[in-house]
Amino acid sequence: SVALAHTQHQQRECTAQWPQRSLLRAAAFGKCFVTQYDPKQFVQMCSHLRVLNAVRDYRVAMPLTYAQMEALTIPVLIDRLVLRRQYCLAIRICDYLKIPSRDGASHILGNWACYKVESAVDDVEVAETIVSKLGDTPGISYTEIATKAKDCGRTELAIRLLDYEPRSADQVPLLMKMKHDELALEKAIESGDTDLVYTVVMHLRDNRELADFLMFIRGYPQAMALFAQYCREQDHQMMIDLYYQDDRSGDSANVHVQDALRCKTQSDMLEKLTRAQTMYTQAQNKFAADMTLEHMKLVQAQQALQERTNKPFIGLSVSDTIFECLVNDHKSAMAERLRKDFKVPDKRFWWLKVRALAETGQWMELENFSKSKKSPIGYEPFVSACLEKGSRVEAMKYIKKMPLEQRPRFYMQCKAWEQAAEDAFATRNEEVLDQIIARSGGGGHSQLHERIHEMKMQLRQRH
Amino acid sequence: MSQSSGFLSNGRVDIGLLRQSLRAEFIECLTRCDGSKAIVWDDKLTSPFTLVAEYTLLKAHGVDKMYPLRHGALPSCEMQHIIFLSRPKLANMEMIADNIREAAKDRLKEFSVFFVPRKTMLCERKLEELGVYGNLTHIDEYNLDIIPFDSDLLSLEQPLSFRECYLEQDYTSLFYVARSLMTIQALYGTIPSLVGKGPCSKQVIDMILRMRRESPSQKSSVMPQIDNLILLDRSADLMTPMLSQLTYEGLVDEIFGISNCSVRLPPEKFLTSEQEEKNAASGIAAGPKVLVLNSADEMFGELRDLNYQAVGPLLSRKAKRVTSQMEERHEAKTVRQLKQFVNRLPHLQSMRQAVSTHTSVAELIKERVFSDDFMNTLRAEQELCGCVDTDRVHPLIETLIAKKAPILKVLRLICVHCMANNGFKPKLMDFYRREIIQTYGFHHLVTLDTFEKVGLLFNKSSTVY
Repeated sequence: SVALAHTQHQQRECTAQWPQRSLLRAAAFGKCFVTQYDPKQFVQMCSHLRVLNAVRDYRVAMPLTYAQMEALTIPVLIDRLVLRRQYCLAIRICDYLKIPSRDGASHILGNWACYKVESAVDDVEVAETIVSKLGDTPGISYTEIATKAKDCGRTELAIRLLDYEPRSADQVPLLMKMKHDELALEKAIESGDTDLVYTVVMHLRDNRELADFLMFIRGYPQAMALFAQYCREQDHQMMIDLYYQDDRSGDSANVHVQDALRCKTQSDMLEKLTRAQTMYTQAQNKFAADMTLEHMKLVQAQQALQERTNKPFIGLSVSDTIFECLVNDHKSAMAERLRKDFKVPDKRFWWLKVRALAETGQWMELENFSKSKKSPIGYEPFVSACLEKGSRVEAMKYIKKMPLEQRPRFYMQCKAWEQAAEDAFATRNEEVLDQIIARSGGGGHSQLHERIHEMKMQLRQRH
Repeated sequence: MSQSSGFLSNGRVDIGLLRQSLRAEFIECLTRCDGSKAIVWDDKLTSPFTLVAEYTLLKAHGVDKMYPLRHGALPSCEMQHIIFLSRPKLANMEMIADNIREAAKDRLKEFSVFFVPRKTMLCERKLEELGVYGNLTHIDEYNLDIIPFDSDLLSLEQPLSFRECYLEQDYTSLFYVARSLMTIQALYGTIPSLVGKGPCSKQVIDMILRMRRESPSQKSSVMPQIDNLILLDRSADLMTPMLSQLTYEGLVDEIFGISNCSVRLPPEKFLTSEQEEKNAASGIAAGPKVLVLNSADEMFGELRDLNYQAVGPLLSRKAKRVTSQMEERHEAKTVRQLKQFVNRLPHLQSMRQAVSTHTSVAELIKERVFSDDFMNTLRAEQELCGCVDTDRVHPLIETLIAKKAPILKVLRLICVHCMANNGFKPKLMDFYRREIIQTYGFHHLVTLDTFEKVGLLFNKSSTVY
C-alpha cells in the first residue's frame, strides 16, 4: 500500500518523463496485493486523470496540475470551460463524472444557447439548432434564453424560443413584455390557467381603448367568458355593454329582467321589462317575449288591486295573486278575469279555489263548489284540504264522492275505521283490512278488530 | 372537533399521508407569521378546515382568537398578527379591506392574507385598488385544494363548479382539479394510465400532461400506488342526481343534509330520560344533535350503502348480537375469561351506543319514507324512468305545481321527465314553463333559461333514431 500511495502521488506530478500509463499499470498491479482495498479511490483517480488530460490538450490549453484542479473544484472547472466556450467538452465531462443534469448539462446548454443567440445570424436556423440540442431536457428555462434574445433585440427569435417554453407562467409575462399580446393571450388560454388569462386580459384593458379592447377580446371566446364573469361581479354596466357589443340579446334580456325585478318604482320596472321584451324578440325567443309581456300586464293589474284593497300584491306570482283574491272574496270577479287573461288551466284554478276556501273555513261554499260541476282534480284535494284544517267531518263528505277503491285510505286518515273496513270489504281488499288493524292501534277497537277478522274469514271462504 | 383520523389509513391508499402533508403545510404558514395570532375566517372555509386541523392544533401554534370575516371593523383584540384565510373571491377582498383599515390604526399590528387554495392576480389587484395592499406582511396561498373526507373519498368542495364550467364557461375549477391531482401524484406516485369521458375531463387530462411537462423534476421516486385515473364529467349523467336517493346515507342526506361528513338531527329521539326532564324543567329546548358520519363509525360503514329496507333487519341482528355478547359475562368462570371480557367491554359498549343511535336515525328516516308524499314521488320517478307514457304532462308534477310544492322538488322531477323522454316537444316544454312561472314567479324565467343552457332541459331534436 505504501508503494501504491507513492505511485499515485507520482502520477499527480507526472510530466512527460514519467508517462502516466506505466505509473497506472504499476498502481493497478500493486493494488491486487493489497487486501481490502477500496477501489473507489483508484477509479476516482483514473477519472480525474482523464479529465485533466482532456483539458491539457492543446486545443483547450488549460495546463492544470492535480493540486490546482482539487483547489479549483470540478464545478468551477466546468464554469471555466463554459466561459471559454468549450461547451461540448464541458458536457462530456459532466456526463462522464455523472454530475446531475441540474447542475451540469442543463446549465451548460443554457449558456451555450445564450451564446448562440448572440452570435449566429439566421433566426430560424438558430432556433432550430438550439431546440434540437436542448430538446426537452429538464431544467432548461427557455424563458431565460428568450430574454437574452430579446435583450439582443432579436424579438422574432425570442418568440420562436418561447414557443418551446413549457411553463406558461414564465412564457406569458415575457410575451406581454414584448408586446405580443395576441400570442400571450393564446398561450394563456392554452394553459388552462385562468389566473394567467386574467393577467393578460387586465393588462389589455389597462392599455387599450375600451372599444378596441372589446373588439379584440371578441376573437377569443374563452377570454371573453372570463371577462364577462369578472364584470358580472364587479362592473354591472360593463357587462351590459359587453352583451350589447357581442349581440348576445338573450343574455342581455335576462340581465334586464333581473334588474327590473330589483327596481323600486313601477315605471322603472316596466321600462326595463319593455327593453327585455324587445331583446327577447331579437333573440327569437318567442316564449320569453310573451311571458315578459304577460308579466307587465300582471304588474299593472296588481298595482290596481293594491290601490283598491290596500293589501300588498306586487311581487306575487299569478297563482298567488289569484289565491289572495279568492281568499278575500270567493266569488272574486278579479280572480275570474285573471284566470281568463292568463289562461290558467282548469286544474290549477280548482286547486287554488279549494285551498282558498279551506283556508278561510268556508265549508258551505266549498261544498257548493264541489257540486258545481265534475271536478277536474278529483275529490282528493278537497279531502286533504279539509284534513289540513282539522275538519274531519267536512272531509268525510267528499270521500263519498270518490271511487270505491280509493276510499278506505282516506277513511283511515280521518280515523273512520268502520267505514274504511266496510269499503275495504266491499272491494275484497285484504291488505287494506290488515292496514286498518295496524293503524287503528290498541284499545277501544277490539270490537272492530273482531269484525275485521270475520270479514277476512268471509273473504277467504269465498275464494 | 378533535377526532382520531386513523380511519383514513384503512383504504387501499393511505389517505392519512395527504392529511398529514396538508397539516404540515398549514403549520408552516402559521409559523411564518410572528407574534400572537388571530385568524379571520371566510365562512365557507371553516367546515372543510375541521377535517384537516382542529382548534387544539391552532392553539398550539399561537392562535388565540378566531373571527368570522365580515364587513366593517374587527372587534378589538390584543393579538399582534391578524391572519386572513379566504377564498380568492373579490367580494371577500372588500371585507378584508374594511377590517384592515380599522385595525391598522394600531401601528403594532401586522396583517397577512393566505388565499385558499390559490392567490389570484385579480384579488391582489383589488387589494391594491382598495389601498390596503401595502399593509400586508405576507400575501400567500395555502394549497388546500383537495380535502380527505374518508379513507376512500376526497373532495375539492367547490359547490359552484358545475355552474361555473357549464353556464359561465369559467374553467378555474378544472385547473384546481388538475393541480390537486398533481399533488396526489407527488405523494402516491405518477399515475400511468389516464382515461376520461366528456369535454371537461379532456381539459383536465390535457392540463395534467402539460403540468407534467412543466415540472419534470417532480418525477417522484415513489412507486405508483395508483394504476388508473378515470375522469367522468357530471354531464355524462345528469339524471342520477335528480332522482331520490334510497340508500341509508343517501336518505339522511336527502332529508337532513350531510355537510362535511356531519349532519344535524332533531334531538328528540336522542335524549335520555333525565335530559328530557331537565329540559322540561328549565324550559329550554335541546339543540340539534350533531352526528359525524364517516368510516370511523364502524356501524355506519356497514349501513351507509344499504337500501333503506335492508337497514332495519341489519340493525336488529346487530342489536341481538351485542346483547348476547354482553350476556357472556355471566358465563365467564375463570379469571382469564373475565379479563378477556373486560377487554372487549369498551368495544361492545360503543357498538351498543352506535346501534342505538343508528336505530333512532333509521326511525327518523322511516317517518319520512313511508309518508304519502315520498311514496308518490318515488312512484312517479319509477314511472318516468320506465319511459311509460312520457310524452304527456305527468299528473304528479302537475299536482305538485298546483299545490305549490317546494320548487326544487318540482324541478327535479321535470328534469327526470325531460331526460327520460329525450327532450320535450315544444307544447309540453311551454306548458311546464308557464306553469312554473305563473306559480312560483316571473324570475324563474331566467332559472329555466339557465337550465336549458346547462342541458338539464332541452327540446326534442328532430332526428329520430
